[in-house]
Amino acid sequence: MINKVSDSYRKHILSITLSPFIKIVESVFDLLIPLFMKAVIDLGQFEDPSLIPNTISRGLATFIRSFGFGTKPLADALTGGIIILIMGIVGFAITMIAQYIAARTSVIIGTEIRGALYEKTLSLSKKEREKIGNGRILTLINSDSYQLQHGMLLFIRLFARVPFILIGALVISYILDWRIGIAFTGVAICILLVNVFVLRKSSKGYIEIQKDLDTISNNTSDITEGARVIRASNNEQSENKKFSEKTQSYQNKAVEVNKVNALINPLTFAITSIVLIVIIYLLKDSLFNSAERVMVASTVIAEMSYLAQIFFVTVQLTQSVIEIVKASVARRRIDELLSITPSVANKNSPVINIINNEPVIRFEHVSFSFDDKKEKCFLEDLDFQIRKGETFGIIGGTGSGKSTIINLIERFFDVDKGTIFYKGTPIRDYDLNALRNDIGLVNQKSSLFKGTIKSNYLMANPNATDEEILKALKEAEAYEFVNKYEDKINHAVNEGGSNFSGGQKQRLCIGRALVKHPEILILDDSTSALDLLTDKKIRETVSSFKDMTKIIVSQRVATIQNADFILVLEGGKVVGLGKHEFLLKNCPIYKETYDSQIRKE
Amino acid sequence: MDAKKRLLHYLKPMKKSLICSFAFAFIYVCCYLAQPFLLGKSLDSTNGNEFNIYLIVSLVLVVIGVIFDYFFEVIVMNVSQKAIKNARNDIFEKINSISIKDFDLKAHGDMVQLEIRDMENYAAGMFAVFKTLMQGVFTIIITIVMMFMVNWILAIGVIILTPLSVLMSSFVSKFSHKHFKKQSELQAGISSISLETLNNIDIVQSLNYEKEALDKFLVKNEELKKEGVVAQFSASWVNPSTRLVNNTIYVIIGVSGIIMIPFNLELGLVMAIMSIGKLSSFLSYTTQYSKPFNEVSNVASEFENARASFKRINDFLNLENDINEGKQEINNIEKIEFRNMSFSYEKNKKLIEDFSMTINKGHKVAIVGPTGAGKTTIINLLMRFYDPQSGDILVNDISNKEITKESLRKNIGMVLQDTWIFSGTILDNVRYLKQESTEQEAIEACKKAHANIFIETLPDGYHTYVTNRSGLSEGQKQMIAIARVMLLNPNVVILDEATSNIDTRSEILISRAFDEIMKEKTSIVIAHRLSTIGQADSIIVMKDGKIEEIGNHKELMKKQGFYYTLYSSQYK
Repeated sequence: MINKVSDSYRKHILSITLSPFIKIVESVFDLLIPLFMKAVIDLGQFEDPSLIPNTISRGLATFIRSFGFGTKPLADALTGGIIILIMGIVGFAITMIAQYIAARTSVIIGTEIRGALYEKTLSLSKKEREKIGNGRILTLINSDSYQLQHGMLLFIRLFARVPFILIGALVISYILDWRIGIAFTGVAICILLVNVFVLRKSSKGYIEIQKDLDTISNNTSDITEGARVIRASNNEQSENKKFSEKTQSYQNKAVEVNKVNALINPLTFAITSIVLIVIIYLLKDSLFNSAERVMVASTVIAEMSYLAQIFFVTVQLTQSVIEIVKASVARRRIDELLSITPSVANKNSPVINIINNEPVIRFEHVSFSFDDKKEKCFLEDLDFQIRKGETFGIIGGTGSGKSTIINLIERFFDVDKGTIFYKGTPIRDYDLNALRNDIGLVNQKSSLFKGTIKSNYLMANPNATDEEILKALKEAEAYEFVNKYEDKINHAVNEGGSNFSGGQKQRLCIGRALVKHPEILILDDSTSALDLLTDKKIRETVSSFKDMTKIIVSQRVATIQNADFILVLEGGKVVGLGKHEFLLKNCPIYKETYDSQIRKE
Repeated sequence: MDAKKRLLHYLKPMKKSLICSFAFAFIYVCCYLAQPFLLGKSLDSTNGNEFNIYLIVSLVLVVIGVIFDYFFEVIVMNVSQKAIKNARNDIFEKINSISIKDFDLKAHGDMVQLEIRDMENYAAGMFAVFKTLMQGVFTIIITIVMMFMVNWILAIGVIILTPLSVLMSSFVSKFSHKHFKKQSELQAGISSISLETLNNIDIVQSLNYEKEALDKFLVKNEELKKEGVVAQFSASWVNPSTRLVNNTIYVIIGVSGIIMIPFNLELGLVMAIMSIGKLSSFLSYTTQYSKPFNEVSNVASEFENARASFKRINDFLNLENDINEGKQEINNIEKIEFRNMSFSYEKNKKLIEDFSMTINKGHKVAIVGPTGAGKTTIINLLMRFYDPQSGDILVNDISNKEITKESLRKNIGMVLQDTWIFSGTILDNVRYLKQESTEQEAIEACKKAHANIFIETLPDGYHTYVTNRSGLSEGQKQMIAIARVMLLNPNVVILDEATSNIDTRSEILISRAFDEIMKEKTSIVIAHRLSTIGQADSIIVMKDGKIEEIGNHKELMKKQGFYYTLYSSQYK
C-alpha cells in the first residue's frame, strides 16, 4: 500500500540509483574523447610516445600505438579516431540501457501513484472527498501524476550525469596541469552559485505564476457559465477589467521571473569563456617555449571541449529544473491526498450481529456538522427508530438535511455526537461491507455507468440471473421500455446514462437497487421525474415486500403520506414524527407543505 | 483577419523591441563566435604583444556579448508575454461580446482551453521560435564565414556532415510521435474512467463495488504503463543519438585537421594552411555549427503546437461581435408587446410562430406549457439574446432594436433555471447585480429568498467561499440567484423555472415575498409546477411555439382546455 510518494520511490530505489550510474559510463567516454584527441595531437609532435611529458597523454598515446598500425602521423590519427568512434558507439549503447531503465522506472512510478490515488479516492468518506473537491482529485489523477512521472524521468537522467561531468572535468584538469585545475575549480564554484541563486528565485516565482494561471482558468470558466447573467446585468466591461488585472499580474510575474532566469545562459557562457582566456594566459610562458608549445595547445583544445560540455549540461539542467520543481509541487499535492486516513473504515474486528427485537436503525441523539470546528450543527439531536419491514418517510425543505440522514445510514459520514445503532449494534462497530450489502440505495442523481443495462445490474448483484434482472425491471416499472429495445437488457448505457430520459434513468436505478434484494431500500428523492401514477405503482409494489424496510425521502407529500412513520425535518431538526393524519393536525410545517401541493378547488 | 495578420497585429506595437532584439542577437552572436577565432590566433601567436591583444579583445567581446545576450532574452520574453496578455484579454472580451447565439454553439471547456493551454502553447512557441530563429540564423551564417576564414576544406566537410544529426533527430521524433499519440489516447481513457467513478462515487461505495472499480482502473493503467514506457524510451533516443552523431563529426574533423598540420607546405593550398591554433578554432566552430540545427528540430514541435493553437485563437477572435444598433435609452419599462413574432433556432424547424402578446406594467404574467413549447425562447428574445426572424418586440412602443441593450437589460432582473454562482463569497454573489448595496441589504434579500436558513449553517455564513461546482445544491443556488434579483429590485422580473429545485413550501413563501416587492411592477414567470402561478393576472398556455390559451386560472379551468389537462395531470 502506497501512502506516500516516497513509498513508491523506495520500492524502485535500485532502478532510480542504478540508471544514473550506468549513465556515468557514457560520461566517462565523453570525458575521454578530448583526451584522446590531445594524445593524437601530441603524437604528431613527439614521434615516440614515451617522450610525451604528460602522464595521461603518454598513456593514451602508447595505447594508440599498441594497435601496431605504424608510426606515421596518418596511422596515429586514424587509429585514435577509430578508438574514439568505438567509444562513442559503446557509450551510446550503454546510455540507451540507462535511458530504458529511466523511462521504465518513471512510468512505473507514475502508474503506481495513479493507482494509489484512485484506490485512496475509493476509500475516502464523502466528507473528506468534499473537502478536497472532485475537481482537485481529478487533477491529481490526470495531471499531477504525469507531472511527477516526467520530473522523475528528468531527475534520473540528469541526476548523476551533470555533477559527474563537472567533477570529472575538474579532476582531469588538475591532472593535465595544476594551474588549469585551479582555474577550473573557480568555474565549478561560480556555476554552482549562479545556478543555486537563479533556481531558488525562479522556482518560487514559478509557483506564484501557477497560482495566477489557476485564477485565469477559474475566471474564464466562471464567465462562460454565467454568460447570460453577465449580459443581462451589463457587467461585461467590469468583468473584462477584472480579468485584465489578472493577466497583467501574470505578465508582471512572468517577466520578473524571467529577468532572473535569463541570467543563467549568459552568465554560464561568461564564466566558461573567461576561464578559457585565463587558462590560455596562465600557459603563456609554455606557449612561447617551442618544446612545450604543441603540448600546451593540445591541452587548451581539450579544455575547450570540457567547457563546452559543461555549458551544455548546465543549460540542459536549467531547462529541466522547472519541470522538476513542478514535479515536486505535484508530489506535495499527491502526498496530501495519499496521507489521509479515511475516517470511515472498518474497525479492527467489525461485527455482523443481529440483536433480536432491536429496531433495524435507531438514531440516538445524533448531531452532525460539516465544518471541522463543529460550531454549526447541520443535523441536531435526531432521535428516532425504524423497525424491520416498516415504511419510513422523510420530508423537508431544500437543505433541511434529508439526504444527510441517508448518508449517515449508509455511513458515508460518521456522526459527531450521539450514536446510530444498526440492528442493535453501534454502526461504527458493524462491518461496513455487510451494512452496505444490506442496503439498496437509489439516490437523487440516478447514477448509471457506461456499459449495458445488464452490466449495471450485475454491479449491484454479480450473481443475478437474466430472469432476476427482468423481474427487478418489472418491479421498477422499467420493463416496458427496456423490452422495446431489440437487445433488451443488453442495451447500451452511455456515459452518465445520457441516452435515457430522466424518468427512465430513475426507474433503471430503482430496479438496480431491487435486484440486490436488499433488506433496506432507500429511495432518496428518486421518483421526482416520474408521473404520480408510475410513482404510485412502484410504491405499491415495494410495499408488498413485507420483510423489506423502506426509507423514502421526498419533497412530495403524496409520495410519503402512506408511510408508517413520517419524519419532518426543518433546518436540521426534527419538527414532526408520526403518521400523516397526526402530522396534519400537529405539525404546521407539514400542513403548509401539504397545502402547497394539494390544492383544494 | 487571417492568422498572419493577427500575429502582426499583436507584434506591431512591439516593433521597437523586436528591432532591438534583432540587433542585440546579431551583436552577441558575433561577439560569442569571435571567441574561438581569437583564442586560436592567440595560440598561434609568436610574440607576447600579439598574444596579449588577442586575449584582451576576446575578454572585452565576452563582456559585451553577455550583456547583449541577457537583454536579448529579456526583451524576447517581454514581447511574448505582452503578446499573450493582449491575446488573453482579447479572447476574454470576445467571450463577453459575441452574440449568445454564437456563444451557445461553443463548448465551455474549449473557451477555457483557449485561455490556458492554447495561450501557453502560443507563448512558448513564440519565445522559442524568436530565440532560436534569430540566434540560430545568425550563428549559422557567421560560423560558416568564420570556418571559411580558418580553413575552407574543413569548412566544406562540416557543412556536408552536419545535416546527419538533424536527420537522426527528426527520424527519432517521428517514431516516438506515434507512441505519444497512442499514449494520450490511453490517458484520455483513464481520465474518463476516473471522472465517471468520481461523479457516481456514492453508488460505487454503496454497492461495495470499490474493488471491481479499482481492478478495472488498474487494467487500463497497466496498458498505459506499457505504452508509456515505449513512448518515453523512444523519445529518449533523441539526445544520445544526436550526441553520437555530433561526436562522430567532431572526431572526423579533428582527425582530418590533425592530419593536415604536417602536410601544410606539401599541399600548398591557399587558405588551407593548418596550425594548432586553427585546429582549436575549428573544433569549436564544429560544435557551434551543429547546435542551431538541433535546436531547430527541438522547437519544430513547439512551433507546430503554437501554430495550431494560434489558429484556434484567431478563429475565435474572428467571430462577429454582438450587434448593438439601438440608440435610445429607456428608464423604465411600461409596456412590453410581442407583435407577430416568429423565430427558430434552426432554419427548417419553426419554433415560435406568429406570437403576439402585450404585458402591461404591474402585471404578473405566467407562461406555462410542456417541454419544448418555446417558453424559454420568449425570454431569450425579450432579453435580446436572440432576435426574432420576423415580427417585432416593442418596449414602451419602441422597437427593441432601437433601444440600447444596456438600458433594456438594466430594467430587467432575471433568474434562470441554470443558476450561476461564481467563485467568491456568498455575499459577493448576492451583491453581483447591485455592487453598491450594503451587507445588511444583501442579508435582507437573502431572508426574503429564504436562503438565510441554509446560509447560516455554512461554516463561514455569508462569507463562505463558494464556486459554481462545489458546496451548494441546485436548490440552494437557485435561492441565491433569487436573492440577487430581490436585492436589485428591478422594474421587470423574469423567473424562468427559477424555483424548480426548491421545495414546494419554500417556493410558496418565496413567491409571496416576490408578490410583495413586485406590487406595481411587472413579473413574467415560467413554471413547470403550476402551484405558484394561481395568482397570475394572466396565464399564457403555450404549445408547439404558439399560444394555445390565455386567461387567468379560473377562466382557464372553466374552459377545460389544455391548461385544465396540464393542471389535473399534476394534481390528481
